[in-house]
Amino acid sequence: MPFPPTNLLPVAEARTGKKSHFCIDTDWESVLDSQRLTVEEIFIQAVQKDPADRPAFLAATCTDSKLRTRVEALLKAHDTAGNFLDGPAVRPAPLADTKDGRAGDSDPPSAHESLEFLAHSDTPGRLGLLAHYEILEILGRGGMGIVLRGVDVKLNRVVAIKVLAPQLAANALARQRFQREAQAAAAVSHDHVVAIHAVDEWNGLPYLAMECVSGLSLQQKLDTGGPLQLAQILRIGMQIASGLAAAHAQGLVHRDIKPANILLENAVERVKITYFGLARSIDDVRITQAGAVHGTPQYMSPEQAQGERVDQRSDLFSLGSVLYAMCTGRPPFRGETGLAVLKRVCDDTPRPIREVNPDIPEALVEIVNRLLAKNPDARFQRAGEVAELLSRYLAHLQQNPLTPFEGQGQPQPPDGDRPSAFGRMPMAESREPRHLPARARLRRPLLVGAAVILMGSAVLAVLEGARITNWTGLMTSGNEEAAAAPKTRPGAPGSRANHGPGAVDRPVKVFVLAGDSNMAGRAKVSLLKYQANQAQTKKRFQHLIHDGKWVVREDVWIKYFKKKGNLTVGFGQETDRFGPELEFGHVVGDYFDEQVLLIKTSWGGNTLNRDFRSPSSGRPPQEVLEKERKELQKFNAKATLADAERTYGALYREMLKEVRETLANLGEHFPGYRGQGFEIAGFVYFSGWNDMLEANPFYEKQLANLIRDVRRDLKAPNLPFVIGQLGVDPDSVQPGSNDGNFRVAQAAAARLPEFKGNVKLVETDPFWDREAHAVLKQQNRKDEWDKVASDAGYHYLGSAKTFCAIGKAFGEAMIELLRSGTKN
Amino acid sequence: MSEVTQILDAIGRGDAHASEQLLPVIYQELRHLAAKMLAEESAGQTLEATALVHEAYVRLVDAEAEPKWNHRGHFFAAAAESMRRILVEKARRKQRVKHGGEHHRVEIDDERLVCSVPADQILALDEALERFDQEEPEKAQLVKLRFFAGLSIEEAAEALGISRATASRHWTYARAWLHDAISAD
Repeated sequence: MPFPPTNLLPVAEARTGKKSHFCIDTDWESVLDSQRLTVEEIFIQAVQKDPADRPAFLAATCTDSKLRTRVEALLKAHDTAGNFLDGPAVRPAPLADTKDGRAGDSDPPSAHESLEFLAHSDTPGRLGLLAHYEILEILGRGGMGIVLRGVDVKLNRVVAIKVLAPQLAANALARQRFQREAQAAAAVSHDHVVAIHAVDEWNGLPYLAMECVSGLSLQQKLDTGGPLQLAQILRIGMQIASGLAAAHAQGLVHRDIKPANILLENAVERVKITYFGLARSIDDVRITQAGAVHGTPQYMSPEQAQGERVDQRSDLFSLGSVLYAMCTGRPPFRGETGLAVLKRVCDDTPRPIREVNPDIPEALVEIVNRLLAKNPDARFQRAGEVAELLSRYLAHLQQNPLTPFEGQGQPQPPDGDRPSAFGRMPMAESREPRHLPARARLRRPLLVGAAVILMGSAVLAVLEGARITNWTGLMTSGNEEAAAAPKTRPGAPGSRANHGPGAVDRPVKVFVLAGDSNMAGRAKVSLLKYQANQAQTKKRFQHLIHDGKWVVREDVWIKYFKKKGNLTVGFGQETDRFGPELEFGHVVGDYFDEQVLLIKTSWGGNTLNRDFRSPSSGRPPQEVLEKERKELQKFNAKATLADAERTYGALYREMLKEVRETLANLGEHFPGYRGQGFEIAGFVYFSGWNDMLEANPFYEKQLANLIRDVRRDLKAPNLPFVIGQLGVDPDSVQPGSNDGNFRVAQAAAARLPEFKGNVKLVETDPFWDREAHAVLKQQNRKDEWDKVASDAGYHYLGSAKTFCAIGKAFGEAMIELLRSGTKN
Repeated sequence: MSEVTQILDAIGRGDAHASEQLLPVIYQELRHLAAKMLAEESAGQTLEATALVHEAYVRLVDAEAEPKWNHRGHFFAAAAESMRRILVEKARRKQRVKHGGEHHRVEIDDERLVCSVPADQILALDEALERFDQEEPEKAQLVKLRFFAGLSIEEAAEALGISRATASRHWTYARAWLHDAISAD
């Protein structure tokens, strides 16, 4: 590739050129309309060549840089397409999604390498043979083993088969425990409990075959639909309670009642409780590569959390948690780590149900609260009682939907052995204020309890070796919260774990990042990676990397049109680039305890005069529209003045639309959203290269209008505004030049009296990367160039340092505004 | 002669209204077939667009009338379009349901049709495909036949009446174009 690449025009040259040279982000198809065949032909020929030969070929065939850029974009799209469109749109339904709901919360069945224990099957399409079961697929992998779907060839029916993990089968204790629990579970025969068909051993491997239920798990239902309707809650709750009653009658405690273990049989939604006596909640505490604990013991009872002996009433607490989740769409006790959840299970009262979902009647709230009593004696004592109560409630609802249910006002006395249980002090426990110190009995250090749970079983100790190491380290550190804070945000001062647990329930802090390609982000991730590994530059970027991986901020979400998720690198204009959002998110995320959301609405090549023109800037003059129409007519002979006018303010409107759509559907975009609401907290506008080239005399007014209009349209008066001032190549800016005038206009708008204390200008001049610029000027130093820069001058040379510094400055300015705002 | 064969004949004769009649018939048949095949799904049996569309063809079009008017081409085009609609509607519905607002009945058969791309991506792809269709209708048609109806490159080439080599070139270009379009924004 010749250097510099043709689209990386030196800044000085670029600035004097025509606009079309710079707006490499603008509408390609129209620019290239006349050349489309050429683009296709060159692309087809180039794609057949060795990638090493392509640059020379393109240099020879592409007559101009735009053509070449387009072909390069297509080549890149081709090279990175992976298996895009390779298979047909419809593929067979994966049974893991629709059969045993367990698969949803297990590790993805990735490979079959661990199925070596299966015998060969002659039937095509089968994974192998286990006893008289032909294995069709892996449904999931749990803590103790693998769950398979297979056909019982003797009875010709489909079953789910749980096999003890082969590495555990060598352990006599593990084998015994598996057998014992499987047999106990097999003894329960009830409509609402998954039936166990067989418990056996094959080639030394214990396994059990059970009913294969088609349908979703309650967890999947909650994930897609949120809170349920009252009648549904009662119906499902009643069936769970009735299944539990049957199991309890056999002396069996489930110990892991949670929505993922409640299967809803297709269509009729008949409840089937699965994993009786087989699963331990702690199985779900998985530590990811990043060190974060995924999945939490959210439905565990306080006595389980403390490693105390549990009885059937522990399942009733979990049932209370499941009912709570059906009412509100989320579990009652949440936290960033398993440990934080356990602590809350023991110490906190969950947020009142009606605060989250006012549609839930008080009668149901009382039932749930009673189940959630910390003290087992204060709960309902028997599952059958709860089933009966919910069933009466359901009947009442169907007959008298308008009158409140009062059935639980006089609960039936429990059977003999616990006369003092709940009749006299039904709600005492659940009315504890949130951070009340736990009772003495609960004051035992939680970590000991957690250790008991973790170490309590030999099976777990064998299986969870790696995890236990992590937790053990945590236990000896003497600083449980710091050690348990997710490793995904190392070094974040004021990490949320050190603040009140209420922060996660406070409204999401929303920041809008709007502007042009420089806001979209033009620094290459590969450059950042290189510099983050160099001794001289390492320190500057160290907070972005942890354990050799990019830090992913779970406490900062970002939505950049179709790209969304937790903030990390790659949210730039293309997925291999980043922009100011990265450091901005880090700074703001560190500052707030609340969840932060960045909505980035940036488009390359736009101007404030046209694309971002806000309503108060009015309609452009007639002659401008006439001229515009002539331009449009080159492509479309029928273009009207209205068509011309529509292009004005189009991106302003798009920006509002994107912000509104995002905020209206937070739960859909971000699964971690718990309905805590949001607050639009700030707006950053960083744009200008094309405005500067146009020498628009109305810029100052239009910028002030933009600020006022955004505040009005987003219904956020005095919304803190950070304006990023253009800072490309400050050394060659002359007073009175386009460049100089433009910066003056930007600053003047921000200095208007009405904006005092609520708008802040951030100069980006100081962040211009002179080192990178020097390399650019030297030409023919491709090797050096890739170490310092990754884009054209008007994109701040794609300097990683620059884009980080700009983002950081924006974040700090925003916080300054927010701080001064709170003082007022 | 079957209803569909008649419609196909009419299309072949240049009857502009005939294609409008074809779409709903095939759309219904595909959904019906999908439900039936899922209900009968024996262990290990797969449900793929390819199988579905071919099955629909066998059931709807009289074999002996076949070679007359490029029936296969018209049929598969309508089938691809039907399949696209089914999937796009499903994706939209999924998004609506996720929004939490709508509680209308969900068609179980459609739910069991698992799209190989996530809902938001199928919508993005559909939008990009619409834009591509404006520019390159023949290549867009090729994508629909391959992606939505699951035709092989040979079958698609035959349906479009182009050579295999041309279809292959068009495919390469279309795939890059669409991938660029949905990754660029």
